Amino acid sequence: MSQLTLRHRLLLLTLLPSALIAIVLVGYFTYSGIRTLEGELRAKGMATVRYLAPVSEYGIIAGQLESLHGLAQATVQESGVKATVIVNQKGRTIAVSGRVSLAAEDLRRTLSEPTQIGETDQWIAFAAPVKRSVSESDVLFEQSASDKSLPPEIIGHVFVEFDKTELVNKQRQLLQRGLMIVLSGLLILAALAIAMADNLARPVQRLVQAVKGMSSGRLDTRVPADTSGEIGILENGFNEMATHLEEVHFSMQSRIEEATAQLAFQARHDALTGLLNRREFEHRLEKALAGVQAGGDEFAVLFLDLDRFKQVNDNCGYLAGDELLRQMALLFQGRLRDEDTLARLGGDEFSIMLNNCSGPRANQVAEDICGLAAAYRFIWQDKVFAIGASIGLTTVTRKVRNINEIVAAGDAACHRAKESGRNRVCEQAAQLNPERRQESSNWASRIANALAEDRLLVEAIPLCGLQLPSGYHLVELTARLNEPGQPPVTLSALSDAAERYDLAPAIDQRLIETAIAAVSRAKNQQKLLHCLVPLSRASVGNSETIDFIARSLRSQKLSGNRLCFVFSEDTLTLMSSQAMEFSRQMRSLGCQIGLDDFGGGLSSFTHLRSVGPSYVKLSRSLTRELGGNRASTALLRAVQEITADQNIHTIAEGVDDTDTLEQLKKLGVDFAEGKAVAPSEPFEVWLEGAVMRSAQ
Amino acid sequence: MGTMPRIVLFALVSLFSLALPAWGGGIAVVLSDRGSAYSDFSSALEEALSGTTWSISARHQADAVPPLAGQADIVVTVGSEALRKTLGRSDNPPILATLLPRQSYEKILADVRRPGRVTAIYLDQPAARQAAFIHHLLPGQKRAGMLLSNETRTIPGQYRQAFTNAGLALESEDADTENTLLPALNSLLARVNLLLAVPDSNIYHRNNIKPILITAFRYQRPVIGYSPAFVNAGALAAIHSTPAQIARQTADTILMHGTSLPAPSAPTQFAIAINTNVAQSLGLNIADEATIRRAMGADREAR
Repeated sequence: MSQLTLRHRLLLLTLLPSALIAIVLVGYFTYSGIRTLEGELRAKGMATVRYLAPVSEYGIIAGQLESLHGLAQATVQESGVKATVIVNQKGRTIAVSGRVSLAAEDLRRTLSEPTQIGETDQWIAFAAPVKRSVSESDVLFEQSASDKSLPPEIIGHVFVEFDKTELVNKQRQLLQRGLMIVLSGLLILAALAIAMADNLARPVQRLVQAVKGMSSGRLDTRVPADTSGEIGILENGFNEMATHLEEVHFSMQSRIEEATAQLAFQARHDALTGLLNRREFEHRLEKALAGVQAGGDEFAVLFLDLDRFKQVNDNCGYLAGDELLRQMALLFQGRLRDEDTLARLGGDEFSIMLNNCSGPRANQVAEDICGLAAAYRFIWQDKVFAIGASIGLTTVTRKVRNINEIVAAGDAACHRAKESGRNRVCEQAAQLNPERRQESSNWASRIANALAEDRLLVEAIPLCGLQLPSGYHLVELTARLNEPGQPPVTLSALSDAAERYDLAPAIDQRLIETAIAAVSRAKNQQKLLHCLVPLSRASVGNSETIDFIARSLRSQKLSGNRLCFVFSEDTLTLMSSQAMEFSRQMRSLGCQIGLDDFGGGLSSFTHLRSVGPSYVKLSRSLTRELGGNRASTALLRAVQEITADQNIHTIAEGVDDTDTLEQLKKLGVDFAEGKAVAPSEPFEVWLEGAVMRSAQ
Repeated sequence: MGTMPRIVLFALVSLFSLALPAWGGGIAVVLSDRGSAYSDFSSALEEALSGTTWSISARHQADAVPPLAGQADIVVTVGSEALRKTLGRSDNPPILATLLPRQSYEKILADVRRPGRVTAIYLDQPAARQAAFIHHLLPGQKRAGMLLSNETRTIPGQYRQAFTNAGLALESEDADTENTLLPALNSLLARVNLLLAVPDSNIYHRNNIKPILITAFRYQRPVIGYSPAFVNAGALAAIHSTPAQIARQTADTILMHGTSLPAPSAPTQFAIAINTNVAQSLGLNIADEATIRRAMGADREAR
């Protein structure tokens, strides 16, 4: 039953009971009809003899054989009557008609009632006694009462035989008719049932097909809703559901597509700046590389690392950092062509792919961007930050095998730019430096190891008095990390990591120790040596630094007047009170104070009063483009005037050519450092050569 | 007046009163059966005797008749069986037999052969009355037939004179046995206009009446019966006397004659029964009973 379809079930349910009922009914009526026919024959036979007997009475009494014969013949004329026999009281046949089948002894029987006296397959015989009918005469005239009680005298018998073939024929006909009725009824019933089952099953089948279609994903499946009743409700319901489902599906689809597009965009873009992200950049780089390898034009890739981003982030919070990144992104984007690709690789690292641009042109673009970054001032609330960018440039040629080489080269170039003093462009060919620089995560151990193993090389940057011979040796101390098999790392490159891992004070102490030792030694040789010692922000804010300086001076029995501690303008901006307290303490020890990166921010001048520095190191942004830039020159001149007025010595750093040196000299800058003055060299070497062997 | 004359007067009165029973007394009624005809008779007799010096002193059934000598001055037997049983006893008072055919009466008397005072009022109608009835019932039908057995062989002698007087011819045929009945009837009916049945236990009994009537009908001959039952069975008409009529005649006879019995007599009163269905079947136009009765009455007065 469970494997049957709805149609089969309906057919079974309708056909089976009705067929059974029809067969039983027709069978019953046919059977009862046959029985009735038999009964009718019997009743007819009994009636015939019952009537024939009294009719024959007078003929028997009167001995009218002709009339009896007529009676017998008339009886045989009746349908179904085969033979009629009339016998008298003694059993002698007195009238006969038809072919008699009854035996002679049957005819001699004496009966009291009409009865059936014989039956075979072909015939059935009935007999009745002929009784003398009695008339009630007047009792008064009766001779004796005794004969009243006598039963009526039997004066003969009548026998009638019926042919059963007619009955059998009728019964056969009845049976055939019954079978015909059953068959035709069943045929009609089957047709009706099939029609009904189809009528009911077809819509259901359509619904089933539609449901299958829906579940196999054809959402536009509908059923014709032309059926009435519950099925119609189902069909309409299905169509509504399907429509709804389709709508929901499509809206879902579009939302998924939207979300996917968004995700795809997000996957390719940086959320903060809206620039391409590293992955997408690398993807495009890959494509561009493939283009080059296939014979396309060479192109250049710039790797930018923002200078001083960390300061902004640390001092003003990540919101400021984020804003800075956004502004820088806009700044760079504005400078680039449409075909160039700008991406933020992460943190403060950007990358620019310059399509169809290489060699000097690329270098020029890099320098432009570097200049843009250097000239940019980020203003956050009441604070102004000078931002710079260290840019690594690498040209992608056909020789480049994969983008890792490009990234490694650019990264290394950028790193070199940073190490060599930031805010500059370094170029490196891709395949030359397959090794990537070590990860910054190693900085902590590297610096710690370097300090422990005395691999931190202290270097001297000699300063040259531009106006008058100063009469003393002025040197700025810096440090360089010397590791075997590695290029040296400058202090500026170290400082970020050193500050982050709280190692900056240790480096600073090393510089302080070296400076005090050098001053002490120079003093012993009657040489005048002034040392500029850069201090990190952590050292400035730490009272232990002051104690250490005081302790060191005491142990060398020195006054501090030959030491000048330099910290950046940023430090002063961010840690004003600590910086001022530090300055006060240092001055009480006799030490001098220098401000680094002076003039980068507009707030610079207020610091002059609060700190009272003896030296200011001019910001590179002031000194870089002195040649053709009148504004820069004017700015420098103004700074120079103010500082001169305050009796503060100005120092220009990074002076690499003599033209600049001359101009600085003309402008009245007091000191200069850089390749144009003297190359930096290991402090001990410089001390021995320049100070100890000098004439003074 | 002295004591003696008083005693004489008393004796005279007593003698007189002893002589009076000749003018009144008890009647014992013996019924053949408990049928309605007998009880009709009994109650009609009692009614007719009321207010007279006669009264019914005892009623008995024929099958249990006690000694009647001291019970009644006269015995009235009702029906043939009552007469036969009553005659069987030896000490009977005078018997008046009623409600029986003449043939039965004569046969019983012949059978019993007992001397005694017995008389009867027959059921049989007198021949002249029959002739008058036929005359008025079927005017123009002159030939009457009669079936006879040895029981009724004397009847034509009694009838012939009266029929002749009425202008009718009487033919008869003997039918003593079953086998000769229908042939005799056939031959008779071929000759006559109507069949007149007279009470005859050999011929007109319950087994034979129907074949006789059917045969007569085949010949389209009307049958004049002798009882209402015969008319019901298919006879055209009958002239008869009812039990009540016989009872009244019985009472009259007793009141008139007392215990001195007269000779047997025919019924004085009669009734007429006509089967109109048979009349229609035979295509006869029959006058109604009252008309016939009036005509018969007029006839008698004219004579």
